[in-house]
Amino acid sequence: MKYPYKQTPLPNGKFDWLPILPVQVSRGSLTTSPFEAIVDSGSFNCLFHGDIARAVGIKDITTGTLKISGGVVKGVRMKTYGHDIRLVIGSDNFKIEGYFSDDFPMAALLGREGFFDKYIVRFDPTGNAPGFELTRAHKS
Amino acid sequence: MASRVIVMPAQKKDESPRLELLRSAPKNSWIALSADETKIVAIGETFMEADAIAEKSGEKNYVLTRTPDAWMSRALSPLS
Repeated sequence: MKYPYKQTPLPNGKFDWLPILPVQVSRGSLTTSPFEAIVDSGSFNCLFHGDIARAVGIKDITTGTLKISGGVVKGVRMKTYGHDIRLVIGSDNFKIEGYFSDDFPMAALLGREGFFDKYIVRFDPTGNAPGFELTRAHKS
Repeated sequence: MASRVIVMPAQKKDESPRLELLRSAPKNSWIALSADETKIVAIGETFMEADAIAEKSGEKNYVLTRTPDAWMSRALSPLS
């Protein structure tokens, strides 16, 4: 399945092209509406804003497994809390441990554990129509 | 998920309508974009608020996203 990169603002009127995928999260009988997630191989886990957890019935995200995430800039720390959820991508869905934080500045990042271990991702930012392609990895 | 129409700029350097929508949206908010990414159909302080407004608008196949406190390049990595 191929997806186009999408434009995202940067300071000073500039912009970047990012691999952004519409996804949904489900837990029990609750499933969110589609929201945008950045495909980011630099992220260890799949990270979500805390509002996504509340939308699937997790009232207190701090009841989950604590993991501290940091930026490449020294001193930046963010507490994230892991919860079992299902990640829905098109007609595909699977269980992952998603990490949630109310300090997360965006909707979601899809990282190595929970996404890149499920899909082979081919990025092609070249040309006038940059995009990426997902192929489901079926590991035994 | 239903098929979606994405407006692609003619050239890589050209700005899409999506970009101006994101720049004009309030910071630290949830917004719902129409499927063709030419209009904002809902704005909310929370995901559920924006979702409810978008659903009430009658727009089909909208997608929610979050605007940060500032638009910039970001990177995260796990420490523990």
